[in-house]
Amino acid sequence: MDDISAAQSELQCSNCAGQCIYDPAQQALVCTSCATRYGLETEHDDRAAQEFDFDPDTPEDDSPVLAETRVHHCETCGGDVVFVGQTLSERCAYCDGPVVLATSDTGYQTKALIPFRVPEHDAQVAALDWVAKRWAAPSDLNAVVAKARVAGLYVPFWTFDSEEAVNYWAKYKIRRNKRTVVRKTSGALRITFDDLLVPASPHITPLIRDGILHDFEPRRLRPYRPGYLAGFGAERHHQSVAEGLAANAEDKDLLIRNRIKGHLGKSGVHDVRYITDTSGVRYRRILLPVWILHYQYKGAAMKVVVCGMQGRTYGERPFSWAKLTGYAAVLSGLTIAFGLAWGAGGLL
Amino acid sequence: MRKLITVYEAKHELKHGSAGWLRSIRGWSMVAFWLMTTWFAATIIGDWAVNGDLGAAIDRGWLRLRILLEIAMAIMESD
Repeated sequence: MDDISAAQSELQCSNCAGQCIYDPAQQALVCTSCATRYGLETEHDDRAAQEFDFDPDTPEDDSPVLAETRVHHCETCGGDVVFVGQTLSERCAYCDGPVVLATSDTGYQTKALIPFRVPEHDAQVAALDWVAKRWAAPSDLNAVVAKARVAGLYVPFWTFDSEEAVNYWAKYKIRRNKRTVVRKTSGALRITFDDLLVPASPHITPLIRDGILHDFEPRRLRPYRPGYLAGFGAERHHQSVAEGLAANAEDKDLLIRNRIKGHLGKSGVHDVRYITDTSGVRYRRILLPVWILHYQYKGAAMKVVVCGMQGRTYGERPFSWAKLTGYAAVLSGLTIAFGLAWGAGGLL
Repeated sequence: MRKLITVYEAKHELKHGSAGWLRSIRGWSMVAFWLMTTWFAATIIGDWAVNGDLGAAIDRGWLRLRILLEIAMAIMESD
């Protein structure tokens, strides 16, 4: 990604001088002309899972670098996707909008990535299968989505570790002699966040992350090599560590509040306030593989995302108001019939 | 109905305990309130239809309503 010529030499087949692309099924570079296989394993692969310390009180030593590369800048969504080897698409991998080509990009150096394991065909099937299983989806949705193709893309992610020493105050309700009484409580707990995955791209929402990334296995990380990107697009990291932590603040707040409620173990917990002393922040700047299927439904751009590691699928979908109304009518009808029978039967 | 489908999809497809999962299942009590309200109104109408006395049907519904409110509070607290 940092040097086009170095990347090109790694992608050239030493057997026939043809072009190689990364094959998820074979987990290796494969020549598109003579099918020669080139493994990308190195003796340093186990170092890819290394985490880096972050101290918010000292300046970050990780600074962005200007790299000569082929960048497709999307004029619709502003996304920047870089390619090594052959460029497969003239459209944006995120929103399918038109792109303009640039020759350099300023971003942070990627430390590691997890290579694709799910082939394109399997991803296409998974995306279509996910759409077909949607309740109350418009009847023509399958036909619309079937025309779209998945695009393979490495998306920038953070993993964050931290130790949180939390002091909290909350209120909860109890029933006392048929009255509801509000009680105050306080306490302390320690929370350890390990490998909290945070998208470093505005194109992968936290909701899609939670739909496709259930299990993160650091042992699958590999040191960054252009060969892994051959045949796919990739977005570079453009956030500083502080920006990454800030992007995750809302999710972390929600998780801490949920842990506090669990720690109290009482019902009716509300007005939760807390302060936390965060220490031991460690991070990784990584790329994770996803297949993105774009489609337009009645003018709205939507996407279905398939995890390139396990094949889990999640995305955006439209609803059919006619079907929603129909389902609501059936459910209400059943509830009304049950209620009428209950009342007519003279039950409590 | 849309909330019911969102909650169903979250329960089956999102990582349990994640921020996205917590956001998606938040507000599921609206579905329960809608069903309980519909059911309660129907019980009054059913009672009225059989006995022909709306006032008496409403009077008999008070205990049912109190129990429903207790259930609704418990649901609201766990949402």
